[in-house]
Amino acid sequence: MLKLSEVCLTRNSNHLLTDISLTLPAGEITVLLGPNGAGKSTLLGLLAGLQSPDSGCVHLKQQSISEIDPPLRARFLAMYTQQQPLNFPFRVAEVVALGCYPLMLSPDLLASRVAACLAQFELQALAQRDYTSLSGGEQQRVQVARVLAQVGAECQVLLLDEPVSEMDLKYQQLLLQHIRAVADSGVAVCCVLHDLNLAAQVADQVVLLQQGEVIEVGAVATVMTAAKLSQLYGAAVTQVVSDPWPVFVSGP
Amino acid sequence: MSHRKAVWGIGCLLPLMILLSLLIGPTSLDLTTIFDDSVASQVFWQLRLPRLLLTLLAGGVLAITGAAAQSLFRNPLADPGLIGISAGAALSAGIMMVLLGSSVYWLGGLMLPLAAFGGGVLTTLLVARLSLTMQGVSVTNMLLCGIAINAIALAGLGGLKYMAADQQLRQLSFWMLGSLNHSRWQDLLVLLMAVVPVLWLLPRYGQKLNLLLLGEQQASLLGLDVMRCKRVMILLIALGVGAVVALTGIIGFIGLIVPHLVRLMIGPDNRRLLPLSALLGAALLTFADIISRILVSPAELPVGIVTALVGGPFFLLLLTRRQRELRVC
Repeated sequence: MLKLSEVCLTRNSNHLLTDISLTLPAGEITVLLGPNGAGKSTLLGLLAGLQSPDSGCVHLKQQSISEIDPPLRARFLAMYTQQQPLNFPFRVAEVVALGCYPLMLSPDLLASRVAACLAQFELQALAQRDYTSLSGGEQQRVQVARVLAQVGAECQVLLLDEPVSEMDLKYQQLLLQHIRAVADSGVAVCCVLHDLNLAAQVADQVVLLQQGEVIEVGAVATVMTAAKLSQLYGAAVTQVVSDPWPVFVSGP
Repeated sequence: MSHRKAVWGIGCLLPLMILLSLLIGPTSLDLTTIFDDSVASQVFWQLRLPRLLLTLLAGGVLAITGAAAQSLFRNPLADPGLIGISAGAALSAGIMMVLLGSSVYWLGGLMLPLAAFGGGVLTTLLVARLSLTMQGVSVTNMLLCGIAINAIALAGLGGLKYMAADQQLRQLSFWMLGSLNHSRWQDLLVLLMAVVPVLWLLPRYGQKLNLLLLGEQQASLLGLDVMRCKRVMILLIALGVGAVVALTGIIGFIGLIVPHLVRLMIGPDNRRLLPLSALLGAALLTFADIISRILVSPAELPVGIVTALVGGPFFLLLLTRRQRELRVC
């Protein structure tokens, strides 16, 4: 369980995050929703300990996240970030193997773990391909597979910043299945999504973030309503189906 | 090409180059007479062998630091020569030489390498600072920074020439061209002290450099202490380049070409790239040295001219390839 208490962050006199308190329960998927520039990625960065808040604290099991030794933190927490600047011609299997670095596996275990992660995202055929020659969607699948390779037995938190932005429908669904399986194993998952329908389908808890402030936290049924989402994005959102989960279309 | 084939290829090339380097020169050498009390023996022990060792160490260190710098800056064009580290080191050592005159050999000849190291650290920090933008490492900034530092260093060294006495002038001139002529056993000892930690430690950072290639955020998330790793890398690169520059002057392009060739053979994994770059760098600089000795025999060209003649066009080729890739993207 990861817990933020009264976190504030200011950069160059811009209030990026204001007084945020939030709990990511173990075994649940929390989805962060909000317009561009609302502070979603910044919030994930704080959750991961990539930067420290000006005030307030982020705790992983009663320990401040920034005080955990980086190698140990990497075994407790994995994160997919939006920017993936890899431009050296590694093979796909080598990229995924880098994700296993914190787990310190023996060569045999490493090979079998990499093979399993490649298989999860149907990347076996690309295993020996040069990563830089892949399409954007394929590169994203490789990077997500690398991050999931880091999720070992000790992992408690998985953070994903727009992990499906370039994936086609099939792999979006595949990823949702995998992160559900990760959550079911007791990991607290937090995911930034822009696709409301995917969010409604996968979320146990939804957080609405606007201009650096949490405006609502709760279950899908209570938080994801057309009125609240329209207000959140400043654009018309209409709900067309409500069962088994709400389905939205943009526009009136 | 498989890793094993590359190791075999480089493993065969290096001894061949070593043998050729020992045999080729104005005096023909019979290796069976090197333990006699003869001219051949003197040529071997006082000229060829120390020169060969200097060449091997310089080539190895320039190539391995080039490979490390490319991973540190996450850019395959980041050669310590191109981005100004060598020039900064040379300027610093040049200033020391002209200002101190003959006192430069104090501390058992450590003054020059120390000065070069200091200059190397400063320029590496400067390049690192100026090339880092909000979006990550900017290649344009990095290369422009290199141009500026190279220009400043060249102007500085030119100015020093006016101030220098005759003996210093000759020393300065060799620096600006890069030469392996300055190979005495006592200098080699100093060089060895500086580069052993570099050659020993850099390959141990192979996997950490691989993580850095994923981006600093990802490297940090994978458990790497990014700041510490970068600091160690900068110190090792500056130490290696500084020590080599103090003895040989600026030998360009080895740090650019060699890691590129090795990457073409075995891919970008730094765990293998770094040691193999060191071996291939040693072999290729030895080859360049042989060329520099036979082209205008019995005189010799500064080896920096040979590496620049080969390296310049190679760099242009890389740029055109990169441009084509960008156009495709």
